[in-house]
Amino acid sequence: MNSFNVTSVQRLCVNDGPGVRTTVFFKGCTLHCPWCCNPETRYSSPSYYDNNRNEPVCVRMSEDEIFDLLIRDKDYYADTGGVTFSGGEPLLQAFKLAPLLERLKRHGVSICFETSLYVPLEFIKMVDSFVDCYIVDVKVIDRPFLFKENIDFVNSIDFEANLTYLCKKIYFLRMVLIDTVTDTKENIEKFKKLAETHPDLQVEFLQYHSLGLTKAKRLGVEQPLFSPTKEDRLAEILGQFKNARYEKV
Amino acid sequence: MKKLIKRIIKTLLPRRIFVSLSRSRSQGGSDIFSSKPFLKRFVYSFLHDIFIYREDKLSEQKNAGCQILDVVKKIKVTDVCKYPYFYPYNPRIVKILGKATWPLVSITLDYANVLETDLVSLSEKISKNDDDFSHSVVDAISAIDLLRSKAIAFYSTKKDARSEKIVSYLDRMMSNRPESLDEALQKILFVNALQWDYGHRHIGLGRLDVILEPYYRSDIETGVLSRDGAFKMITDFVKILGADTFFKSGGLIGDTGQVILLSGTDRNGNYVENELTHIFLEVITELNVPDPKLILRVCDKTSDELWRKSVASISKGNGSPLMMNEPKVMRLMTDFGYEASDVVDFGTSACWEPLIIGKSFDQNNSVENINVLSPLNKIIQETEYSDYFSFEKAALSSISSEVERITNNSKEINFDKSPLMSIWTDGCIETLTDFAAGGAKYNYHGFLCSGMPNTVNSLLNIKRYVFDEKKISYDELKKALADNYVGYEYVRDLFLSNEFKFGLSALDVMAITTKIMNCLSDVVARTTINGHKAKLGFSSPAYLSMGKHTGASADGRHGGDPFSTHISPVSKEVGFAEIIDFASELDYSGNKINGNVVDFVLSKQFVKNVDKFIQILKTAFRKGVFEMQLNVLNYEQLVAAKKDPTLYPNLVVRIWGFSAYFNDLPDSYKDMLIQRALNSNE
Repeated sequence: MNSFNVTSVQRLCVNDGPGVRTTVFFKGCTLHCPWCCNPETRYSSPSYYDNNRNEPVCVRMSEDEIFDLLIRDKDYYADTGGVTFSGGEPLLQAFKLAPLLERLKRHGVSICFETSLYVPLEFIKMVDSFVDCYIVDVKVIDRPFLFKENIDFVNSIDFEANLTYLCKKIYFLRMVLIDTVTDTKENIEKFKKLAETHPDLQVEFLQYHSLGLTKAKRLGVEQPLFSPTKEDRLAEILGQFKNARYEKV
Repeated sequence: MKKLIKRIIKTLLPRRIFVSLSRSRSQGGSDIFSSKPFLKRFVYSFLHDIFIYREDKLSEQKNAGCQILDVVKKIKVTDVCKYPYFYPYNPRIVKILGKATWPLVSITLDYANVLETDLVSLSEKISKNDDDFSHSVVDAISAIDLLRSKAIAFYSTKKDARSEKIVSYLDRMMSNRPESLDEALQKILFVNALQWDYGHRHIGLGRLDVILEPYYRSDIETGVLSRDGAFKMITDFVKILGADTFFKSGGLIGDTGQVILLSGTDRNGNYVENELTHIFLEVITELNVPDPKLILRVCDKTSDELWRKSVASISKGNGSPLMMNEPKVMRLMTDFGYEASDVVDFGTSACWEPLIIGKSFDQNNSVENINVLSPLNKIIQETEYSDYFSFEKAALSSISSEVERITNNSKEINFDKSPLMSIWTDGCIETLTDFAAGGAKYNYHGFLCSGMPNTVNSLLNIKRYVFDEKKISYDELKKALADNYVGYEYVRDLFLSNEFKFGLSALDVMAITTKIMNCLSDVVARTTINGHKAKLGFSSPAYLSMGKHTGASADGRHGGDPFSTHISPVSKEVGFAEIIDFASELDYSGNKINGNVVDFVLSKQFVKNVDKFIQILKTAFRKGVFEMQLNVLNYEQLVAAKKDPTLYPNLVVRIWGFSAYFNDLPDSYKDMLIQRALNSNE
């Protein structure tokens, strides 16, 4: 049976897809966004919080254990909700996840993935038949923040091809707006072009928040503090994306 | 202060005066004598016409009904008239009872009975009897008539249309069923005010949407009233009830017990959700006032629209409505001993303790609250134990002894009398017995306890770290608690780090929680209050006051810090989903029905997704939560409001079972809410 490094399982999530969801956060990511709100998920192998208690950042969970946790919330999911897999990059687990996803689908549970799509298309194809929707986290279009050791791997990813493959199931495209980082004129124009090639896709902008800093501190790693997009720039951006929504923390 | 007040009262007694003053010993030992509302009320009375009553000065001719006559004779209509309804509540009336007599609090009349009872016929019938009770009822009815006549005389001098209408309503009041919603509201307000004047406190309002529906429907069908018109009437009604919150309050401002229950099943087994259900909810949401408050009886039939409106009200931080699981509460009440045909009329004894409206004299504020944590702390210091099994046995024994002490002190309670309640409570007229002397059909008084989450977490920590893993010695445990963790911060850190906590459905946690609940329940099951069996509830208003007087505990709590609130997590690690699971699995059977409230703090962000939030609430009640109240708090807002009250003058928050203006709260309550908002993780 497969097992996974899970950093947390959050219940009653109302912002992770349609309906009420339980979200599983896996360890490991292809990117290295410095504003990440889950810095403990960056590296695939287990690590510990920087305290005297040897507190691990993740728990090794079997497929059965994860299934039991997810199925107990079935009453909350009702017709619209379900399970969301996130992280980190949940599609890095694709080769192990299929049996769990198949089991959840047999029990009528809807499945969503929160992903940057910076994975090979093959990974997506391994799980796509079980997935009902995707939330795509769009970073900085031309310069995704890379995990140094993975630079060739990430460069080999055809992000647009992945997007096109999945576009019918994309719940929304999401971008975190960060002052002078992701909200630059260049980046927004590129994001706009991307959104225009898929005009049916809902766009969501998220206000930057610094909640990841506390976790980074607990991990003993440096994480820079950014700022949310300024009000006037925000208004400009929202003016360019007529149907976009803006979510604040 | 108490002695000074008593000395003042004794000085005033030789004169013919009537003062009505209520005392409550329920709020963790805090005596209402020292509460701000009481003191202001007393001083206010002192400067005007004071009415003092002393039970031991009562002559044989003076029955309880005569007391009401005395009160009414002193009421000046000009002092109490309000518009657009006559509401004769006079906060200057303060009643003092003898030390051995307990006031009647937390009571709800069946206002359907109030609206329909022919008082003239009743008086004629009962005046043929020659017993104290009958005389007292006749005098009470005379008092109602006298007040009514005084009001008619006053309003007749006014020449406006509204005054003429009030006169016509009062004219018909004694014998006639109201002919309109407006008239029904007037009659309810009249009787309600008189209850307050007579010294009852914590007076509930019952199922007003059910009671008033026939009058509303008739007005709408005959075209004399529109929905908007009814909205205005209900708004005026609510404003009048809430106008004297300060004077009506118990220990804290807002704690009036003025609860309106909405929706649920009626006596014909039909689900009720009518226009008035929605109107009451809309009015309270729009006004966003802490008083009166709402309770929603929820079931599978509760409509999405009603849920949405309830969430809208809760989102304002009002904390209202508190939600009760109708099918579960009814089933458990029947199992306890209430008749199945009566439980459909369940309401609450003030905040959340179920009773039967119109049939219950179930009291909850006349007995001492149970401090569950204190007996555990006591045995930790007294003896050392070699194993957890012996320790736990001793702990449960200590808790049992403490409960026995309280139950032994509560076997006989001498209550005040109330011919007013007797007129409209089933059984009293039939048996010629006062409401508080056994006339009411149900007399299941109740105990409340506080500190259970802290006790469970303490036992979990002691089991794990002292006995199982032996990370700290028993001696370290004793010293850490005795020294309030000073120099033993590592012990406190260890205790706080335990991932197994109250609110998680882990085996150990459930096992210990169940043992404590059963321990308390077993002792209460062996006792009676005034010859009747008693109930037990795990929600209490005493979490702050008891915490103040309880030393450091093995859950990591510092001495003097508040206890956890009702059934709520003591730590951030236990989220909303976890506490719902946990509360749903607890066993509330037998006598454990006296209020079991999941109390949780949510962020505005969480409740913004209304449809998703409703799905969560529906599921929570389907799973088996008994009752739930939610505080939507914003940490930054609370901190700012504490620093500068002028910033948020209308900020309403939820306290133990009622809502209050944040600015009216003592600092200790403000700090507690700020801390809870900081710890909220949803």
